[in-house]
Amino acid sequence: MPAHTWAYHARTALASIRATPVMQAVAVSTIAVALLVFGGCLLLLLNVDRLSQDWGRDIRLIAFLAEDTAPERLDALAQTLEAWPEIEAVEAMTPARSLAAFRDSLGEDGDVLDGVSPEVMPASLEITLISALRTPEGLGGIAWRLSSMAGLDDVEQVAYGRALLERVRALRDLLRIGGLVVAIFVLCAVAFIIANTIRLGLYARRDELEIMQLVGATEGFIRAPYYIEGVFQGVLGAGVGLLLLWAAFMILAPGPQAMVQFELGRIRLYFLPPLILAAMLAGGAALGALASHISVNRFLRAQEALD
Amino acid sequence: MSAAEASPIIEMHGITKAYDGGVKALGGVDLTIIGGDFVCLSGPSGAGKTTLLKLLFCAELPTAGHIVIAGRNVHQIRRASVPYLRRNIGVVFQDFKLLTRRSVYENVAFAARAIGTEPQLIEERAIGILRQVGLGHKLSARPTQLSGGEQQRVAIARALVNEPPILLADEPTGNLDPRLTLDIMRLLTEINARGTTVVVATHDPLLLRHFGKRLISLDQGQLVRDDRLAPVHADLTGESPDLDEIFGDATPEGLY
Repeated sequence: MPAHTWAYHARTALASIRATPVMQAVAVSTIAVALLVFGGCLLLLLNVDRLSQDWGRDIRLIAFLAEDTAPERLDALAQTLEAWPEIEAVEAMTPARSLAAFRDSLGEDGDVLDGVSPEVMPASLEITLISALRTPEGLGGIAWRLSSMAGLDDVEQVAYGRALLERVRALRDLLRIGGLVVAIFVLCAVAFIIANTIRLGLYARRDELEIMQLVGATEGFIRAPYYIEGVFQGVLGAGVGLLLLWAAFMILAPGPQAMVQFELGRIRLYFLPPLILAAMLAGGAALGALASHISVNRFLRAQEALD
Repeated sequence: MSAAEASPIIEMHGITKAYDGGVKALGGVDLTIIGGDFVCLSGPSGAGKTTLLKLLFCAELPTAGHIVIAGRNVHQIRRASVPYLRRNIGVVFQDFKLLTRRSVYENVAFAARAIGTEPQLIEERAIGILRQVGLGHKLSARPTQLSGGEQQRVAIARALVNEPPILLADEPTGNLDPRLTLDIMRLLTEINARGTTVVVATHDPLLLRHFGKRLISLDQGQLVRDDRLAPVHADLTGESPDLDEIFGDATPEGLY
C-alpha cells in the first residue's frame, strides 16, 4: 500500500475517533479497567508462583554420614546420588564446610564459634530433589530409600515453613484457574467493547461506505481505518490499564512487602516483566484488530443483504 | 465507431432473478450491449429495470444465467475481485446519494480516493470532470445549496471520475422538473459521444423518443422490445431537442 493511502487511512481513523470522543473515552477506560483486573491477577500469580518456587528450593534432605564411615566416602556417595533422576543437586558438606555454613547462618554472632573444631560437625549430604518431588510424599519416599543405603546414618527432612508453602501453592493453583477465567472474561469484554464502538462508527459513516463499495473500493481499503481505530483503542486501553496497575503496585507493594518481611525474612515483590507488558500491549492491539474485523465483516454482509 | 467500441461490453445470457418468496423480477433475459452504445431501458414500475441494473453493477447475482462485463464473467470472479469489476461501471441514482456534509469537490474526489488514486491525479480528475458537467464554479458548495439538476450532475461527475467505460443511470431524472431533465439527458448524450457506454433506465416515455440510440423495453421481467433508434438527437452536431419539442403541452404538473 502506498504511503499516501496509509496517510489517508490514518486521517480517516483519526476523524472517526475525534467524531465520537465520549464513546472513545468510555471504550478506552473500560478496556483499561478490564486490563487492570487481568494484569492484577497476573501480577499476583507471578509473585505467588515465584514465592512458592523460592521457598520450594529450601526444601531438601540432609543425609548424615554414619560415624564410622571414612570421610572419602562422602564424595563417592554424592556422585552416586547425583545420578538419581529424582535428585536435582547434591552438596557434599565436609565438617569444615558445615561449620562455615553454620557460622554464616549466625551472621554477626558467628564469632561464638571461634575456636570450635570442625570435627564436632558431622559430614553430611545436602540433597535437593527435583521440584515435582518437593512434597511430603516425595521427600518421604526418597528419605526412606536413602536410609537403607550403606554409609548413611540418619536422613533428616528439612522443610522450613512447609505448611505455609502448601497454602501458597494452593493459592497459586487457585490463581491459575481464576486467572484463566478472568482472562477469558476480559478478552470477551474488550472484544465486545471495541466491536461495538467500531459498529457505531460504521453506521455513522454508512452513506460514505455505500459510495465506496459502489465505486469499487476494495474491502481492505474500507476496513483499514477501522483496523487502525481498533488497534488504537486496544493499545491505549491496555497501556492505561498497565499504567494504573503499575501505579497501584508502587503504592500498595511496600505494604505487603513489609508485612511478609516481618514473618518470613527477605521477600521481594516483582512487577510484570517487560516481555509480559509487551505481550499485553500486543494482545490489546490484536484484540482491537480482531474486534474491528468482526464488526466490519458483519456490517458489510448486512449491507449486501440490504442491496 | 472504433472496433473496440463495436465489440460487446455487456452480455447477459438467460438471466433470471427470483427473490425470496418466489417473486421473479427477471425471467430469461438475453441482452448484448456494444461498447459506445446509448441504451434506454424502459418499462413500467416493477418491470425489472432496477433489478437488471443491480445485476450489472454486481449488487446482486442472477438466480440463473450468466453475465459478462468488459470480458469478465461475473459468476466466475472471486468475491475480492468484485470491486475491480465495479470500477468499469459508474452508477447514478434517482436520489443522487451525495454526501451532504462534504463539498461538491469532496464528493467527487472521495470516489477517486476510494480506489487508491494518487493525490495529484485525484484533484486533476475531480476538477476536470466537474468542469465537464458544468460545475467548475461550484467546487466548494455543499450539495444542499444546489438545485436537483446540479446535484445529479455532481452524482454523474462522481460516477465518471474513475473513467469507467460504462455509465448506468437508474431513473436519473425522476426527481427533476422538465428543464433539468432535459439538461441531464443532454449531458448523458455528451458523455456517450465521448465514448462511454450509457444505459439509462426510465419509465418516462417522453424522454425515450428523443434520447438514446437503442430502446429496450421490459415488462414483467421479460424483454418485450429492442429497437435501434435513428441517430437524430444523439448526434451532437445536429440540433438538440428543446423543451417544447419533447414535452409538448405537458406541463410539469401534467408530467408527474
